[in-house]
Parts: sequence; structure tokens; C-alpha cells
Amino acid sequence: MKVVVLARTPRWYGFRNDRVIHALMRGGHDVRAVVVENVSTLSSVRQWGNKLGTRVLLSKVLDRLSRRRQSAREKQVSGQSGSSNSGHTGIPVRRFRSHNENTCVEYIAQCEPDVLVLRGCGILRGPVLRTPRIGTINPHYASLPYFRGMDVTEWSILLGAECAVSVHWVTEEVDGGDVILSKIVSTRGAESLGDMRERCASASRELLAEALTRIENESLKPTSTETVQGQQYYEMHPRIRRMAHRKLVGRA
Amino acid sequence: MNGSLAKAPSELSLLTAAIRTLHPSILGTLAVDLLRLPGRPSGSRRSLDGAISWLCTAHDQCERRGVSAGFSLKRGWLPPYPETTGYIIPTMLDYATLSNREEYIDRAIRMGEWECDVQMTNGAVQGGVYRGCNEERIPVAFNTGQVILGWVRLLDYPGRDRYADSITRAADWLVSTQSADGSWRLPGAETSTVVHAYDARTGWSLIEAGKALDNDNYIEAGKKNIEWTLTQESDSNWYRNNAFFSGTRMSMTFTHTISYVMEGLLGAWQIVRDDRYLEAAQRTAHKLLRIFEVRRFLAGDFDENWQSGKDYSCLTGSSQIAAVWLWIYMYNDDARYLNAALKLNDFVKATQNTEALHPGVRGAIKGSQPIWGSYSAFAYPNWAAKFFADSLMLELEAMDNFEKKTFDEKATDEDVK
Repeated sequence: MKVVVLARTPRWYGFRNDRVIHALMRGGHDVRAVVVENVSTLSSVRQWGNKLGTRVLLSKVLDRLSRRRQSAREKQVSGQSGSSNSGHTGIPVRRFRSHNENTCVEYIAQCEPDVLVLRGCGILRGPVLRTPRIGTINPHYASLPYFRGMDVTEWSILLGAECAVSVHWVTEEVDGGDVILSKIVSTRGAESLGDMRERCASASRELLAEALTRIENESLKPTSTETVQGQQYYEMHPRIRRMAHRKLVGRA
Repeated sequence: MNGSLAKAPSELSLLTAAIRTLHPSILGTLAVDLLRLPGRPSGSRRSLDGAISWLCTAHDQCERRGVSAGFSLKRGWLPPYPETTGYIIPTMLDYATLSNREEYIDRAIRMGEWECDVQMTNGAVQGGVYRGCNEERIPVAFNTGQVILGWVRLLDYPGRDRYADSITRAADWLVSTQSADGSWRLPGAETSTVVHAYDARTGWSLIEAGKALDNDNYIEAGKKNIEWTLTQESDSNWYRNNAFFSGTRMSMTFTHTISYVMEGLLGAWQIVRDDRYLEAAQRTAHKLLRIFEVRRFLAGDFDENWQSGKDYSCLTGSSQIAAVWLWIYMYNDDARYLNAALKLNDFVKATQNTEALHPGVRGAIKGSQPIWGSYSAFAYPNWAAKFFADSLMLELEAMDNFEKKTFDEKATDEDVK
């Protein structure tokens, strides 16, 4: 499958050793480009810190540095000039102010993707969602359709539901598209909500590649249930988040 | 209650206002709001204690009889306000239970007695602040209903007969002036509009009076009003006829009056148990929850399409909405309402200064954030502190409830300090 990956990161964030892209390529898919919506470093770091916690965030940073050192010893990659920087084996990385702006939509369309793969994006409007030949998929860190919206891993834990990752079609309704694949994520041994998010992230990489394979093999098309089921959840208040943490540690 | 607290200022009062503004607490407030510096919410109990302390100060300003309508940057401490003194009574009684201190019961009783003293001869409660019996006083249905709510709570305390008599006279007046469709359509002392959906709280007060005094006529009159209120709900779950003014720049529907409707519906439901009342309140509450969570801000007023375009928040309305959400959480266990209420209460808490030097500011809640917003601009109304205190007391109860359900143990000190 020809894929374009959409992400939201600070300008300095590189995709050379990105594990999602690795997983997609290992799955035999053709990653045409990475299209990034720029966000501020401060807001990103704040969000990462809130969601992952200091320990997990530091661990990710160290892991990323380690992988960067390792890949520096491996084959050199070529890059493009202008507003892009290079990624894996020449995969172009292009940055825009917003995924929904016309120039971004035009660029994505030029890549002629079969599927767009989302990697932590904001709300995408119709023009973007209409660019791929088949559709857009997203990894959602909870069971759909029951837990839609934000902080869903945390809400799942707090309300005593199983943690899961669901790869689903993206529609203009928030988390409204049907699920293609899902997988339960164990809480056993997890020490923090950040740990659980990392587990979901890890599970989502292979699941995305599997979903693309399934779309290709079974000629799947985007679908969504008419009545959007489940409930929409929102950003968790710190006091509620602390309770979710306590509950996780209690059952892990 | 309607956001307008004072008469037109004289030259001397303007000079006094200018001097007052030089106080560090007030200059600081203006500077913080002008620079849009983010505040930091205190712990809920600390904020609650601060708000109650300020209400006591406002009570002291009027010789511990009525409660001063509030502190105005333009006019200083204001005269006592019968309407809001009436519904501060339940707040004081609830805080007395929470803090286990009788002094708050004493204050509530003194407020109740004052309300009996200033009740109009026809049984109604006047509009506006109390400036003495010799000033013109206009009876207002809504204001009468709010004081009934206070008197009803005092029936369990010494002086019952007097309160029962006042309730009867007030409720009789409400019944006698009620329109055939269940609304009240009386010229207002503080509003240019004549009919109000927010009189759902008046309908609720009649139901409470009827239950307390075993009077079915009052209950039926109250239900009649609630039925009329339900007809005012629009397709978007907003309420028509819910503004203080029409045809002017003040014709918007504040979150304050939207909240009054929800409170009236929920209060009436608790006695009558007609699920239509509850469902109507929940529809509007859910709409507001989505708006707040998606926009991450709750504007001070909304039109029928829930659009605002305003960048101020009516802090009274915000506190009331948080309280409605907390109530709904405790009814249906939907933790999303608890979650949203915590965030909205945090927003209001962050505007409160519990350490200000000026007693008019310390612990008080502004009419609007920023202070020059469209609702009770440049003032700290007593009802803002009242509804804020109510919301925080409910928050403490809700969090305790949620902890027990989640872990089967009490809330920790870390969460409630």
C-alpha cells in the first residue's frame, strides 16, 4: 500500500529512526512521505510530560538518542532542500502550519497515497480526508466505539475497562469510523499511566501495518456506523488522573 | 442578580472610586486581568473557606442583618440585597454542617429574620437592594421565590412560625400574581423584560413551600410554572425569554440565567419526580459540557445557537454550571460531569484572591473574568461567592463519593486541601 504518514511535532523532531515508519516498511508498505504539522516545543513537551510522566519521557528521550547513535553507524540517508528534512532511505518529510491548509492538501494529493496513516494529529477536515484513494486510518488507544475522544487510556483504566488499541477508519466524526483491527493491551506490571501509553504506542505500530495489509488483502473500504456509539471523553483533570494512576497500580 | 448593582455615580463618588482603585489589592486585580496573567487555583477547601469568610464580611457590613449586595470598585460596599440574602441562607446552613460551627447557623437565622422584617406588606420580596421602607419598592416574583428557598431551610430552626408565616404570605402572593400559562409577567425592578424562563427557580420555590407546609396549591402552581418553562426550551436546548433586557446591548442570555433554569428544573424534579424536568436539565447541561470541553472556555453568555464571540466569563454562571454537573454526576455516575466540573471550578478558583489585603476583595468572586466583562462589571457580587461556595461544597461531596466508588475508601487530604 502507498502510504503517507501525518504527524504533529516540533520543528526539530526528526523521523530518521521513527518506529511507526519502520513498522510500516517492515510490513511491506510504501511510505511516500511524512507530512508534519508544526507545533511549539513548549506545548509538545508539556503535553508529553503530562501524558507520559517524567520517568517515561526521560526513558523515551534516552532511547531515541541511543537509536540515533546506532543508525548513525549504519547507511547514510539522502535529504531534500527547502522546508523538508530527510527520513528513512529518502522518505521526504514536509512541514506545514496546518494539515488542513490548501498547500498541505495539495502536497498530500501529489503523493497519490492509497491510505493516510495518522500519528497523533488534530482534527482533519474533509479536503484532507478525501486525498487518499482508499481512506485514512488512525490508532486509537482504547476500545472503540466505547471510549472515544481524549485520554481514553486513562479513562479506560479509571472506569475498570480493558485497555486496548483500535485501528479505525477516520471520518469527520471524532473517532466515529469503524474499527479495522484491535488488540488488548495488558496492564500487568505497569507502573504508571505513561507506561500504559507506551505499551499502547508499541502495540499500535504493528497493528497499523497489519491493518494496511488487511485493507489491501480484503479490499476494505472506510465505513462508519450510522449511530455513533460509545461516549466521548475529554482531557482528564489532574485529580481524576491521580485516581486513574492509583487504580492502575492497584490492579497491575 | 441581574448584573447591575448601583445607581448612577455622582462626582464625589467618582472621586472616591478613583481613590479606591489605588488600593494595592484592586490595582493588582486590574493589572492581572489587563495582562491576562493566569491565576493558580487554590485547594478547594481553602477557596471555599475564603468565599464563606468574604460572605461573612459582606454580612458584617450590614450589621449582620441582610448581606451586602457586594463590593463594587466604583461604589464600595453596597446595601443589603434581599433576593440574594435569601438564597445565601441555605449556603450558610450547608457550610455550618460541613464545618460543624454554629456561628454560621446564627448568621443564617439573622438573615432569615431580616428577610421577615423587610418583607413587603403584600407578602412579596422587593427588587433590587434595600434602602429602607421609605424608598419605592417593587415586588418581584423571582426575588420572592429565592427568599422562600431560604425560609424553607430555616423551618428546622427556632422561629419556625414566623418563617412559616412569611413563606405563606410570599407563596400566596406568587400564586395570586401567576399568569394563566404558569409564568409570571410583572414589570421588573431590575429588568426590562417581563417574563423569564429563569423563574423556574420560582416555580421550584413554590414546590418547596408546598412540600414544607403541606399545601398542594403551592405545589400545583409550581408545577404549572415548570411546565411553562419546558415550553421555552429551543431545539438547541437553550431557553427563550431568559434575558434581563431586550433590544439593548445587555440583551444576551447569561450563563447565570441558563443555570437558574437548570437549577429550577432539578430542584423541582427532586420533589415532583417528573423525569421530563430532569431530562430537560440534563440536555442543556450536556450541551454546556461539550461546549466547555471542546472550546476549553465557557463564555459568559450564549445566543440560541450557543455562539458567543465573547471573551469574558460570567463567574457566577460558571460556578452554577459546575454545580449542576456535579449534581448530575452524583445522580447518574457519569464521571465526565465530575471531570468537567473540577476543571470549571478550577477556572473560577484561579480568579479568586484569598490573600488580598482589602476585605472587599479577599476571598470574593468577581462578576466577570476579566473584571470588566459584561456581567456585574468591576464588582464582586455576593451571589457569585454564594454559588461558588455551593459548587465547592458539592465538589467535596462528589469527590468523596467518587473515591468511595472507585476504591471503597475516603478521599485523601492531598485531593481536598
